[in-house]
Amino acid sequence: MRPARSKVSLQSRGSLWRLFGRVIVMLATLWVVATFTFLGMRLIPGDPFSDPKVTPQVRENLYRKYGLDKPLYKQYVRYLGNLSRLDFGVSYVQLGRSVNDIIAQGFPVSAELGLWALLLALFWGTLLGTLAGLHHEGRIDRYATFLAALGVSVPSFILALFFQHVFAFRLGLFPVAGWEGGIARFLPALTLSILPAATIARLLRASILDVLRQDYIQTARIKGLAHTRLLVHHILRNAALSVLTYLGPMVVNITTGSFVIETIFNVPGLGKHYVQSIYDRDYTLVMGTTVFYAALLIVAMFLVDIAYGLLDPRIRAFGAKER
Amino acid sequence: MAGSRPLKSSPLLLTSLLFLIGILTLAMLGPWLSPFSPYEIDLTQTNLPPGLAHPFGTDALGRDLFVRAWGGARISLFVGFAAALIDLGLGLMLGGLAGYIGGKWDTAFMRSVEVLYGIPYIMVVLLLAVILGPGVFSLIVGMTLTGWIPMARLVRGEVFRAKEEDFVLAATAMGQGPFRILLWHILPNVMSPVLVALTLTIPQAVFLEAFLAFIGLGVPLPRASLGTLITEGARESWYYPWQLFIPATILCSTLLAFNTLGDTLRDMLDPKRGEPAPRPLVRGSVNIPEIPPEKTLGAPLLTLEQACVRFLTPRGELPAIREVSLTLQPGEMLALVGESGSGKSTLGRSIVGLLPKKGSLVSGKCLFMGQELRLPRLGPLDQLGKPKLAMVFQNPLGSLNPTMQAGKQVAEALVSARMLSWAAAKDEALHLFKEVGIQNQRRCFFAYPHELSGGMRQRVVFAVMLALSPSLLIADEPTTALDVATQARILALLTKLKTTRGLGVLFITHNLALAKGWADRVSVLYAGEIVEEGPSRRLFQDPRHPYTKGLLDSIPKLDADNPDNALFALPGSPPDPYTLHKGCAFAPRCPVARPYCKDEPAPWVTLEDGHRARCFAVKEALLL
Amino acid sequence: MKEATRPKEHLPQLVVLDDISKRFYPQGSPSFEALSSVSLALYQGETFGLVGESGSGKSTLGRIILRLASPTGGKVYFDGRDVFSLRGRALLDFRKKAQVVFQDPKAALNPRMRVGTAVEEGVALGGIAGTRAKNERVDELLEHVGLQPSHAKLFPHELSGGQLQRVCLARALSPSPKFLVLDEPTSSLDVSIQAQILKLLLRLKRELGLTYLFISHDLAVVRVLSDRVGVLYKGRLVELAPAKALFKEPLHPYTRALLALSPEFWDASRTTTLPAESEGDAEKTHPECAYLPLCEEPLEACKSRIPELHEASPGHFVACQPKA
Repeated sequence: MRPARSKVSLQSRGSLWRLFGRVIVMLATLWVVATFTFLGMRLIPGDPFSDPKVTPQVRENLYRKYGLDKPLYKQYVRYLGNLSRLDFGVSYVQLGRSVNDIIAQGFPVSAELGLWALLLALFWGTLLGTLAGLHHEGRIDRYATFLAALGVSVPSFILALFFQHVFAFRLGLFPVAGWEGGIARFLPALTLSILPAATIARLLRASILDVLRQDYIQTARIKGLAHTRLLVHHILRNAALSVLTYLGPMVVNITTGSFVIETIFNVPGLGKHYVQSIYDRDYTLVMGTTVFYAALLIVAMFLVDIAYGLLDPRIRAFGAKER
Repeated sequence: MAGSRPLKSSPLLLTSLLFLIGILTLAMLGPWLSPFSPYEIDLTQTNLPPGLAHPFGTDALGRDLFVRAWGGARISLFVGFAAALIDLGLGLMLGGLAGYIGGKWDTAFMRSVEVLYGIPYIMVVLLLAVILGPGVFSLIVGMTLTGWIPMARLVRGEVFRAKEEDFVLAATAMGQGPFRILLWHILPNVMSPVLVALTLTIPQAVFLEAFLAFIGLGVPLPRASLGTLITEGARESWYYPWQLFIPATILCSTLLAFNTLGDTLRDMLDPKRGEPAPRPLVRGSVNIPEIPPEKTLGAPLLTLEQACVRFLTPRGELPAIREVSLTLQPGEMLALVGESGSGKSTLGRSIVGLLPKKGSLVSGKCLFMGQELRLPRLGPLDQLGKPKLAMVFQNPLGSLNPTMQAGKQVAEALVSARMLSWAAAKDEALHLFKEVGIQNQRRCFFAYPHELSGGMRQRVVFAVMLALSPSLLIADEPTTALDVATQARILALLTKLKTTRGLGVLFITHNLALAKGWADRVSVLYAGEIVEEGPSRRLFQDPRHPYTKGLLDSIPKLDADNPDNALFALPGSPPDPYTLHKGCAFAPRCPVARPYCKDEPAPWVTLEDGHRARCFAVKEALLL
Repeated sequence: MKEATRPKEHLPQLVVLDDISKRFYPQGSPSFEALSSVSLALYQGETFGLVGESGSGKSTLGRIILRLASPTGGKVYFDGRDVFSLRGRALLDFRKKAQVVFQDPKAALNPRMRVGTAVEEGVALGGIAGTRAKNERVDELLEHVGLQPSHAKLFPHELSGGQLQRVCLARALSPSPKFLVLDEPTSSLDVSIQAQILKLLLRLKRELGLTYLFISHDLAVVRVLSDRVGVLYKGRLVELAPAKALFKEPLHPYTRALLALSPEFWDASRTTTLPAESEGDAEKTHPECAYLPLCEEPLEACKSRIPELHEASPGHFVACQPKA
């Protein structure tokens, strides 16, 4: 029973157009990344097959195999075609090893780690931010604010080394590294969650302070609502909206954070393979994986953006907040 | 604004600034403070712990870590500053131009920027580092390739906003050239958020460099940034923890100092700062007992005696309400009339208990339905089960939760205040909508506040308040945000509710004409004091206090033949509340002030029909 | 130019609006017409009051006259020249002659500029050179609006609302204009300060021979200040008349409702029936009078065409079907 039916149809047509526009922008972004990578690959110093041990005959065969003998624009078209079929390319160094292999092998692990980190971050961040916001300028606020500031200032690899040292080496509470059993997942996920948790806490605190100044909170207080209802339905529901905008960047933070966390904790995920291929200077593999990551994040941010639009009634209807 | 004031008022800002200056100085001078070279390998001196010769110890190749650490800090900070400043330059130029020119150019700019903005920043830096090979140059290029975009969007948004400001329009109307306007009027007023963004971009770049160093894409050896040192130190951290600890501490504390500086600056430059946010979840109950009906008969609904409210502010104590006494009968509308700063809103909020907890000092007596409400009434109202007080604010859109359907906000109040079930509450809410004059109640029930018109919103607010079945309704400028026709309708509704429900209404307004047209009784507030009160008709026909007289004369007279005769201007302006003295606050502007008015509190003079005024001149006129 | 609003008096016209329309295209919501075919002329030396509720387009009209916004259709003439075709020196000359005072004096002054500098900018553009001469002129202007020369050194946040509005007036007067757009100059001020500013406006007009366009939603203020009054409703001029005639005998039902509902004109002895409130705008498929849903005595003809301004009595124009 939405009000003003005729209006809704008009508005939903408008939001369909907006969705269409966003898809176009997303595709353009993906295209820019792909083109950039393609050109970048030509700029990488040295030919992958210029190793003197490779005979000219073999080299020619390899060139033909990878299509490097064709004109540049044909290579480009072929490259885009491969990408659109979700084929992210192969290693030119280790014959037979492809980016898709590595993704198939490592991505499920990374995704699981990321999901745990995401849940932990939401939990810590919400808790810390809410406490700080509700106790504005009190002692709890000061501690929480300091913790959150620390959380965004300490790089995750330092934190990882520290946690590993204290909780694994010294106290022996958790395994030092690896991915065997549930307990091994704790330290990597915790470390990975710190930066997003701290960011959520900071955003939520500021947002709660802003909401508390609004007259509708005064109205709700005059109603004599129970504290939990006031907190959940009036304060948090409105404060959380501004935190939702961070969900996209949070996915980026967790993904890039996983590169170092997986390396330090020796988690067999995509991030570890990625860093390894950087160390190995396996450029084509690195580029292929980078394109995959970029595409993944671009799509994730797009989805988050759409979800945000669905959650805020003001945006849902008009496509822009009333100011 | 004075430049030195924020530094003094914020110890955090000062500390982080001094700390950063210290780090910067050491990064610049550090290598000269030690006789060692950062690259000199000495295999006889490997892995030494911190000591006199080597304050930070040495690494596995016997290199002095003190020079390497500060040299590393210099590289890290150079990358950070260079990237941030290039971002700033590009952002200011492109964002500023797009925002200032606007139109098609701006649209084209925004569209192309949107495409680039979708690429994760860190992936761009990674790609560049892979393509160009690791190095300071490729790092900075990678960071700034798309790094300027957030800055440009920020600048563009700010310029866009500033361009529409009245003072910029006034400068345009003056015939100022576009460059002068951009340079003198727009840019100085957009720099605050840009400065904050700059402060937060530097640590982001330093952070990213360390991250890249850790995954093997940092500054190539033998040069070492803090990230490189941390990576090297991490390998042997079990045996030589200081090799990790020292560079990690320098990096983290620098980042922390930058972030703190940025946060503090942002808070300081936030225009909303200074308004204290009331605290919500403080448990402090105000008991409003159920009163047997016979006891309330004939007794006033609300009595204030000698109510005082003072706020503690940085400038000192601000007396907002000074010894206000008033009474309100059931079924009566009392208008509280005053200009801005007279304390009329503070008075309303103090009765309902919505004053900021911090810095409010409240004293005096407040009797509601014969029972004393303890002042200070702070914290939330614990009205569960027996709410009798309600309040309506000026801005109806702000008074409703934007993410909750209008009907639910009414039903929620019914559930909480009258213990109804949700189903019953929904039916009752529809009835209340009907009572406040909403035609299409079902449609309104499911609408979100932004989907309703201003008048409808205010009606919904009234329905929310009526759900509490209150005896007293405080209406704080309930029609100021509405146009005249809606204003009349809302006031008609208020009058109807007053009669049908026997509601006592405290109507707070700055508009004398409204008070004259709608209120039963009127109290005139000046500088936190009531100067005159009485039945509406009597007070407006025969105002006694010189302030009330002046105020009434200030309303343009419609029957005058000459515009000059139609206007009477009260000289001067309301007093600075910080410098109020014992005597009459109106004395400096008063045309009939006696010499002693400033020093002695004016006496209350009672006229007929409950008409009272507080003035020496009135008293003397009466005695004559 | 339309016959209906062609000047019939002998005073020279200063500003002429010919068929001005303005359409806005906000992002994410349908476009709407803020002004529809507004034509009127302002005579030299008069005060023209423009009345309307928020959203009626009255401020937009003021901005279009000053070339701070461009109309979607129509022309503006100032001193007989098309304002939107002015270039270079001619444009600068127009800028000097037509000035503006806004509603919120706090927003109308650059917060980071001393008020003296703000006034001095205009003095410099007015053609006065040399620090000494400029300073003297700034002091003179400040005294003219009832401030002291010492106020020049202050920043806007150090002054009260009434003082700030005086500064805005001094700035508007600094290039020696002959025409001022006053966009709700007193509605953000307290009643007691409002009267001071209104008196100042009256005095300045008399002393400097200015022409005012006085935009306001406050009928009482408009009544006192204006020689002629125009009423805007949803972007259309629905009534235009000498002030006395309009307030004595309003012809358009909207003007009548406005007068009846304004608290200053409230008469407790007269019971007014309130027009019904619209709960949402229905989509219109054919042209009809914009006031039709609220009109007390609508006619059948109102549903099929938009009424145009016509002269009901000498100098009194109204856009409403004549009652047969």
